[in-house]
Amino acid sequence: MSDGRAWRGNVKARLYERVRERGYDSLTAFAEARPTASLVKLAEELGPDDIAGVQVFSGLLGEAEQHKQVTRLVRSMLVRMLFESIPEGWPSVMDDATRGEIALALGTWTAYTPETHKVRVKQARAALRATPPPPGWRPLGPDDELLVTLLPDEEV
Amino acid sequence: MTSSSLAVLLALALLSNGCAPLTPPPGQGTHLRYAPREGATHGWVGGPDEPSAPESERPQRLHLRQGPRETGPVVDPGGVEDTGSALAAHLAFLGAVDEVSASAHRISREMSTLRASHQGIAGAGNGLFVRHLEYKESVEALTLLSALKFTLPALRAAAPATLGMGFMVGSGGVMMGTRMVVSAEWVEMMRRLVRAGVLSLPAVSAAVRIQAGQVMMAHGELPRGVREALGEGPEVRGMRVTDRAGAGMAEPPGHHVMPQEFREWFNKRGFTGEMDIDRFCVRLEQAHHQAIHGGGNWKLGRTWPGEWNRMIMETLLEAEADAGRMLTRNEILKNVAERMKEYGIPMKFIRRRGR
Repeated sequence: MSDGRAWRGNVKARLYERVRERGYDSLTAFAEARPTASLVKLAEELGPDDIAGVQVFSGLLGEAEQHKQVTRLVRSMLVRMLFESIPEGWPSVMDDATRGEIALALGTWTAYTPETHKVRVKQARAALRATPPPPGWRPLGPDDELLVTLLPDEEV
Repeated sequence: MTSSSLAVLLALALLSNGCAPLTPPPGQGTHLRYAPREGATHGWVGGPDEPSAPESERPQRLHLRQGPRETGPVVDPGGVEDTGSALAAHLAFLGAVDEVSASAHRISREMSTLRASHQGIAGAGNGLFVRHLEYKESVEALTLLSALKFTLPALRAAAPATLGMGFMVGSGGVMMGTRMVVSAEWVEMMRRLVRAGVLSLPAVSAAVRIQAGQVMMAHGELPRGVREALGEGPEVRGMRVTDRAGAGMAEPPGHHVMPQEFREWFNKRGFTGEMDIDRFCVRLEQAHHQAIHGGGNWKLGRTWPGEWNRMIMETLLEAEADAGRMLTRNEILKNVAERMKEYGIPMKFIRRRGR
């Protein structure tokens, strides 16, 4: 999926066609059924040759905006990114390499966060730095207790 | 630069460029061409890079190994080799330089024609010199590939062949006498990733198999991180003869993966010289390029820009803030590689000169 095919034709139509083909009525439902999969993995499942991870994210965001669930989406993105970076969970010993790894995951998380939620994400990162989660912490979905504490829903 | 070394340079450039009709003298059919002969020891005749440089500056990894089944120069990844072989390689190297020097005299005659017919020797020489550098790099890149148990029997005189080159599998390989080609991008990518420490040479070796005349990536055997960094299919698809642009001979329509506006920032984190951000450029279709810079109508959300440069820099700057230190070059490279996958950007790097 990197010969440019993902960017030809009607990206949105293709995305939703694949979601429907797989038996989901929304991209969110498809993604929540795979709560720890990375964007790339989600994209590969929908279209290994012609769908890009970033397109999946834009679709998820569009739906979340519509249903006022952006905070939940932002939490789910952290789950996916941490699962890629530290699949065994939060380390008990933070060596320099792991610190870099986690910092990049959190940096990527921030960059994928819409402007409306950027400040709250930065506060959540500060909280993580100030009070690191217990070793082994490994959120497996957007409803993880500690994660919800860090970034509670505010949309009603 | 002396006129003779300039002549050698021009000779090399012409040889690697293939734009001048060059006929080897009678009896020197192996001039810049290697014809395998069984049991014999052959010199590396295709890699006379930096002919005027002292020996210590030449690639120390290139050695000629004498063995019953090995018919070409083999690269020792560790750079350790017995001195006898090194000496043989040196002698072969000097022989090759002599050959090139001889042909340089012939070429100087060709050059006067060129001088008369084009915009002048200064302009021509400039471009040719760049090509010479490309040639040198391709030789270096190939030393990496030969560490994968390839021998390098033929450095053909035709220009794109200096990068999109034919290989013959030697002792460690499976077949002889069948040519295969590897794209310049692939060679470049492997070289960069090894240099960056993202890949190790053994990992690359394990990743490559020879099958029915094709270099195959053995994806199943790659560690996950490596596979992530490399992408799944494009490398295999990328193994083909490249055109001049693909071989870096012409100015390609490339785009910097790491934003040029932050060149200094990347410099400070080790992206200099061989790892300069100019070396990490990709070719994109126009629509793709526009899309990742915020164009097109692919975005479904309103509140997230998703623009490539902002995405990359925000990630890296925020990560440094969290880590409380500078990111290393490898960390940056790995992260950028992940973003490239997410944005469907081919992991085929070309080189482009900066603004």
